[in-house]
Amino acid sequence: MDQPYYPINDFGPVMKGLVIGGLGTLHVFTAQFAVGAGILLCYFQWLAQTGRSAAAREFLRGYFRFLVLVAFVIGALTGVGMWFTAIQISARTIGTMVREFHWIWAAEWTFFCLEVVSGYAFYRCAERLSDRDRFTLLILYTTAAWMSLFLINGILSWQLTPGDWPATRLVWDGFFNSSFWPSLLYRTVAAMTIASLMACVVINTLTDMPLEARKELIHRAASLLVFMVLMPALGIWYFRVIPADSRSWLLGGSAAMTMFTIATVGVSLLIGLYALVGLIGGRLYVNIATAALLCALAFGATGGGEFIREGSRKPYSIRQTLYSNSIVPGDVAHLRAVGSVTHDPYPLRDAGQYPDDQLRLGAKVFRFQCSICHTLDGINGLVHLTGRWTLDQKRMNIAKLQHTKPFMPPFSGTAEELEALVQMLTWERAGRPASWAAPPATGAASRIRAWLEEAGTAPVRPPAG
Amino acid sequence: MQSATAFYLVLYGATLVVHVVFMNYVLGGTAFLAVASLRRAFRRSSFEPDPIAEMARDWLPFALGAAITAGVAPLLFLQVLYEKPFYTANLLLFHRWMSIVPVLIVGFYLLYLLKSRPFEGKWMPVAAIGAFLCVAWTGLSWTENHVLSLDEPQWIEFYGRQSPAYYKAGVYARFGVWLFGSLPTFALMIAWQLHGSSGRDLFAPPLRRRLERTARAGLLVSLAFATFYATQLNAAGRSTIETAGGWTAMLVGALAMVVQSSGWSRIRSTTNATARWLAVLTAATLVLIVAAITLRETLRAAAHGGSAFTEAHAQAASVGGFGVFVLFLILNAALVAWSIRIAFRSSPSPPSG
Ligand code: HEC
Ligand code: HEM
Repeated sequence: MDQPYYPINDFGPVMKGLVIGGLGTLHVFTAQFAVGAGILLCYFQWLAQTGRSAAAREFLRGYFRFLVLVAFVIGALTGVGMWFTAIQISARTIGTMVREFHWIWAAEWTFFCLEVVSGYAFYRCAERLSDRDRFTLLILYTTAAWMSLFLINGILSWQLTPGDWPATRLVWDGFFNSSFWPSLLYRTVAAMTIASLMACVVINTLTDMPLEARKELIHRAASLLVFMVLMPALGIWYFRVIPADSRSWLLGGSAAMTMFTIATVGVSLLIGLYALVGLIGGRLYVNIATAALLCALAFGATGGGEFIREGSRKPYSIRQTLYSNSIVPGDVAHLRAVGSVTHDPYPLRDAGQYPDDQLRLGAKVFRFQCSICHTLDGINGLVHLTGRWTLDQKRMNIAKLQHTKPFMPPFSGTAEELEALVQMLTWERAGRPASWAAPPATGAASRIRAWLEEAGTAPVRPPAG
Repeated sequence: MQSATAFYLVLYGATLVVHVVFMNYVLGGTAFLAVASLRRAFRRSSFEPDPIAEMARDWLPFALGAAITAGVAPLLFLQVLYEKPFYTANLLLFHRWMSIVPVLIVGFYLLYLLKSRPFEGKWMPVAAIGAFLCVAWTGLSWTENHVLSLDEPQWIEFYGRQSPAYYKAGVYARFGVWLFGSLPTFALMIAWQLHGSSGRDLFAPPLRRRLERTARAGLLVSLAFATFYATQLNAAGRSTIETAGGWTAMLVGALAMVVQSSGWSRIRSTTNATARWLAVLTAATLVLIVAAITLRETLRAAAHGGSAFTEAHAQAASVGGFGVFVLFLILNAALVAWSIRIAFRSSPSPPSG
C-alpha cells in the first residue's frame, strides 16, 4: 500500500507519548469514575429503598450532582479530546482502528446516548420518582456506562494483543483477544475503587449530616474497595497474556517503563492496604484531606496504567500491523529501496535554517521515522542519546535500529537517508553552525548498506502473538 | 455512486442531522441569552420573568451534552468517508483545532453557572456572552476545519507557512450561515417546550411574536450569508452546485424556508392549532437541514471523489460488526425512550433541578 503522508507537528521538547498519556490519564480517570459511580449509586439506592441506610438517600443526591458536573463534562469532552489527540499523534493508527472497528465504536455510541439520557433523567427528576423508577434509571445508566467500557476495552486491548486477527481479519477474533478479559475486569475494579474514593470526598462535604451518619456512609462506600483484592491476580493474568517482549520492557527491559510499573503497582498496593486495614477492617473515618490524597494516588495509578498501556506496545502502535511511526512492517523493504521521505510532500517548516540539502533530508527523515518517540534535544532527545557516539557508531546503531533497542522499529529508508540523518544529528550536536562541511564519509554508504542488510527488515523478536 | 459510499454517506448524514438539531439549540440558545442578558443589563427590557430565557437556561447544559454526544457518530462515519482530508485538516490546524476541548469545558461550566443562578446581576451578561463565545468558537472551528479539508491545493503551503488559523472570507461567510441558521431551529424547539408546558399558558402572544422575529431574522441573514458564501466558491465548487442535484437541493431548501416563514406567521396569529403548525415547522426545519447537508456533501464529493475514496469505503464495508451496531441501536433507542417515559411520569409539574 502507498505510504500516506500527513503533516507532522512538532510538540517541542515534549514526547508525543506524554501528551496522549497525560490526556489519557484524565480521561480514563473520569470515565472509570463514571462507570464505578454507577455501580456505587445502584448499591446506595438499594440500601436506601430497603431501609438499610437512612443517610444513603441524601448522599445519592450530592454524589449524582458531582458525577454530572465532573463525568458528564470532563469525561465527555476529554473523550473527544482523546480522539483528536490520537489523530495528532498518529493519524494512520486511528484511521486503521476506525476502518477495522467502526461498528464497535458505533455500538459504543448508542450506549453513550443511553448513558446521557438516563443520567440526565435521574439528575432532573430523581427527587420526584418512586424508588423503583430511580433504581431502573440507575441500572440503565450503569449498564450503559459499563458497556461502553466493555466495547472500548476490546479495541484498546487488541492494539497490544491482536490474537488471531492478523491472520483471519475477523472483527471478533480481534475484539475478544487474550488481554480482553483481564483488562476489562481490572478496569472494572479500578472503576469501583475510584468511585469509592471519590465518594469519601463527597461524604465529607455533607456537613449538615451528623458525624455518625457520615461514618456509616464512608464504611458503606469503602466496601466497594473489597474488590481490590482481585487486582494482583488480574494484574498477573494480564502480564501473562501480553507478548513476551512487551512484558520484558515492563520488567527491566526499559528503565522508564519498569519504573512506571513499579510505581503503579506500589501505589495500588498502598491504596489497597489502607482500604483493607483502615476503612474496612478498622472502621476508620477518613477526613477530606486523606480522601483527596487517596484520590490523587488513584489518579497516579491510573496514569501509570496508561503509560504502561501506551509504552508496552513499542515498537508497534498496532501489534504486527503498524509501527508507531505509521509504517506498515511489510513496507519497510520497499521504503528502503525508494526512500522514506522521497514522496513526503510537506516541506520542513524551518527549511531555511539548514545550511544544505543533506541536512534538510536528514531532518525530514527524523520527522517521519523518529519524531513519534524522540525529540531532538528535549525528552528522549536524539542529540543527547547519540551525543558521544562516533560517526560510524551512529551509522551502525541506526542502521540496526531494531537491534540497538528492540522496542524500536527497523530503519525504513535508504543509505543516503540514513547518512543524512547522522549528519543532521552531528550538526545539531555541534550547535547548528551556519555553515557546515560534512565530515568525510569515505565508504560510509557501502558500510551502511551492509549494516542495513545485516539488520534485515524484520523486528528483532518474532512476534509472540 | 458506489453502494458502500452511499451507505456511509446516509449514516453520516442521518447522524449529522441529529447533531445539527442540538447544536442549533446550543448555538442559537446561547446567542439568544447573550442578547437577552445585555438588554437586561441596559434595561431595555423590564425585569419581568422571561420564559424563553428561563427555559433556555434550564435546558442548555443538557442540550450541550446532547450536541456533543450526537456529534460522536458523524465524527466516526466522517473518518470512514474522508479519512485523509479530515485528518490532514486536523493536523494542519493543530492548536487551533485542539482548543475546542478546553474551550467547550469552560463553556459547559458557564452554562451550569447560568442555570444555577438567577438571571440577574451584573455578571450575568459576562457569563452568557462567555458561553456564547465558547460555543461559537467551536462552531467556527468545525467550519474552518471543513473548508480547509476541501482546499487540498492549499495544504502544503499552509503547513509551511505555519499559520495559526485558516483565514478566509469563505470560512466566516459559511459560519454565518450556521450561526444565524441556528436561530429558527432554536426558536422552534423553545416553542415546543413552552407549548408543552403551557398548562400555565407560558406560550403567550408576546412570546410568539418574539420567537417569530428571531426565527425570521435568522432565516433571512443566514440566506444572505449563504449567497455570499456561494460567491466565494471556486469555479469547480460553483459548477458543482449548478448541477441538477445542486439546484434541486437549493430549491427544496428555499421552499422549506418559505414554509417556515409562513408557518411562523400562523403561530403568531392563531393560538389554537399551535401543535399542528409547530409540526409543520418541524418538518420544514428538518427538510432545510437535510437539504443543506446534501448540498454540502455534494460539494465535498466533487472535491474528494475518485476511486481511492470509493475503494476505501468498500474495504471498510467489508469488516464485520454491523449487526451488533444495529442490534444495540434498536435496543438502546428503546431504552432511551423508556428513560424519557420515566422522566415524564415523574410529576405533573415540568421537571427542573
Ligand atoms: C517506537 C518508538 C521509537 C521510534 C520510532 C524510534 N525510537 Fe529510538 N528509542 C526509543 C526508546 C524508547 C529508546 C530508549 C531511550 C532510553 O533508553 O532512554 C530509544 C533509544 C534510541 C537511541 C539510543 C540507544 C542507546 O542504546 O542508547 C538511539 C540512537 C535512537 N533511539 C535512535 C532512533 C532513531 C534514529 C530513530 C528513527 C529512525 C528512532 N530511534 C526511532 C523509541 C523509539
Ligand atoms: C457546541 C459545540 C459545537 C458547535 C457549535 C458545533 C457546530 C458545528 C458546525 C457549525 C458544523 C458544520 C461545519 C460546516 O459544515 O461548516 C459542525 C459539524 C460537525 N460537528 Fe459540530 N459543533 C459542536 C460540537 C461538536 C462536537 C463536540 C463534536 C464531536 C463529538 C462535533 C462533531 C461534528 C461533526 C463530525 C461535524 C461534521 C464535520 C464535517 O463533515 O466536516 N461537533 N458542527
